[in-house]
Amino acid sequence: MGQKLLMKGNEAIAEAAVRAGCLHYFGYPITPQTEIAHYMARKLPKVGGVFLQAESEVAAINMVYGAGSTGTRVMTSSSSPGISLKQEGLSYLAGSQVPAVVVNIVRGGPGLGGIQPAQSDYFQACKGGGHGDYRQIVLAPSSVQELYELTVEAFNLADRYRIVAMILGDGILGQMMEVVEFRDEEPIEHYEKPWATTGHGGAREQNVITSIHLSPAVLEKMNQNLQAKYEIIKQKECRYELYNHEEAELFIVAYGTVARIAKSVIEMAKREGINVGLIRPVTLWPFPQEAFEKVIDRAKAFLTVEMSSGQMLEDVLLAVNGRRKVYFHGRMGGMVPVRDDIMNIVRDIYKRHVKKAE
Amino acid sequence: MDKRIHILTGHYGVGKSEISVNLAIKLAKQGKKVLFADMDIINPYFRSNEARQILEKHGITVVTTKYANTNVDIPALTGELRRYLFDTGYSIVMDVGGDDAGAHVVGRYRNEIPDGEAILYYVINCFRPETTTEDGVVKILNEIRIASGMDVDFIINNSHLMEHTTVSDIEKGMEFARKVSNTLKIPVAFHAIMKRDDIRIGNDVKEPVLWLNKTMGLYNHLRFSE
Repeated sequence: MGQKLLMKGNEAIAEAAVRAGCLHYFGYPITPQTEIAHYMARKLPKVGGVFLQAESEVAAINMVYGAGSTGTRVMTSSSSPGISLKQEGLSYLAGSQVPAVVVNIVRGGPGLGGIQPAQSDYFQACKGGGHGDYRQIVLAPSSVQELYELTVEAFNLADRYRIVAMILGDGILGQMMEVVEFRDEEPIEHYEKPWATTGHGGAREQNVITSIHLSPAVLEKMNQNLQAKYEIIKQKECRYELYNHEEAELFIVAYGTVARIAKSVIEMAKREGINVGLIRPVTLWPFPQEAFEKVIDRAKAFLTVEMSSGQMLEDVLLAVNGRRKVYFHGRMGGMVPVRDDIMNIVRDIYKRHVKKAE
Repeated sequence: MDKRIHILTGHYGVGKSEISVNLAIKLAKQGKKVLFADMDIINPYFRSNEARQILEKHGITVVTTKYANTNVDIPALTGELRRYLFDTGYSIVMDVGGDDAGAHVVGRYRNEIPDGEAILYYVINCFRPETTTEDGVVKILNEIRIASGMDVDFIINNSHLMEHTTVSDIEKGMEFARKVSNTLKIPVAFHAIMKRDDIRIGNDVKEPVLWLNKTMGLYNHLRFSE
């Protein structure tokens, strides 16, 4: 590892994108992620790239669609209400299999909501915020270092599968400052892009990037191809962290910012002789079922904690599939779960499921 | 350093607010009547109220931008500052937002700042991505000069990597500050260093040192280190 810098999460995302070879950024400012645009505006012209502030989020995502169609690395970023505006474009990108990286630094909703951190866009990110049978890879970093590493990875994944890779952060991760240690060289994967509209001078067949297929039989076939691709991604690209899991009988399931709080709870619980493990999904889609299979035999119960009303909770319930009790604690609207509150719930679950059994 | 009005500018995220708060407390401890003016119109997001409580505990008067701590992202100044600028009974610490955008606030008050009573500081941190080189530091300094309509009197060196800062990082920061100071012919007012048990510096440091106490503890429960 190389140079260490003190960075805001948003700056780390932007720097990572530039290092990953992103040459185009289109966006429209919105708190709490505007530093990404600010940084790109300063940096991209220096590396021969293009920064463009679009007239709206809808325009920005369609510029991404255009630039991505030429096979160059492209990114846009926004926060919740802005990401809602981009949903039509995301569906088109999925239908046309155009790779792109999209960052959502989530704030409290619904509607215009507020500017404080939330995780209430999980459904939108993981279950298809736009129309049609499509998926996007969703990465959930938990530190500024990981914002950097996963943003670089997002560009590789997007190219590898011709898919949109989304970084799902929140206002805390975007705004907080931490030390980032940069690699001397980024692990950039280079892929042939024979599908890209790069100009052919009559030397090959014309490439057409489109998501319109008026024949239902053709459209179904296209959908089947997409689903086959999604199956491969599910097999190969699940990422997660298991923390303090080897002896634990209770498990907290949390991602992003909340996973950090969960780790504080786990340390606190240790001091009381309660052994709690953490399952931290790093990919939210594909959801890491495997992490649950690794611990299910020993686990007595699960506690999902989110900055939402319980969105990832549904995937946890599917993963556990009735085999164990799943509890939930959530805060909304920009409020952040408090360590002591979670600890109280952990004590209660411990009494019900572990102590009783002893 | 003995002027009445202290204005802190710099690239955003270099630690201006933390130093401003510590500087205000230092002045209050010298028995001065102190006003702390939070003039950051750039980032009213996630601002901590904790610093205000600490300042007020030291008898320091605090004025802030109109919508600070409301989550309303509107860069509106307060009219309150003006009367203190003319009140020679007050020592003032002005914490200004980052970059030239933040320094425009200084430009706004420039004609109301009594001649010869103010010092403009430029805070640097060589571990921030846009100020790791001398060129980067000079570029932002010049932008701030234009926006504020004032010249920089002193450099404050606040080079650090938060809790990961090592003594060698501090030494690197000091060297960097001296180099910049030499190029720009602007003296280093002091090196700001966060107090920590394992951080010691030698007696051979030429410039003054301001030892900082942590006052801006945002989301401490998230600062979980493995």
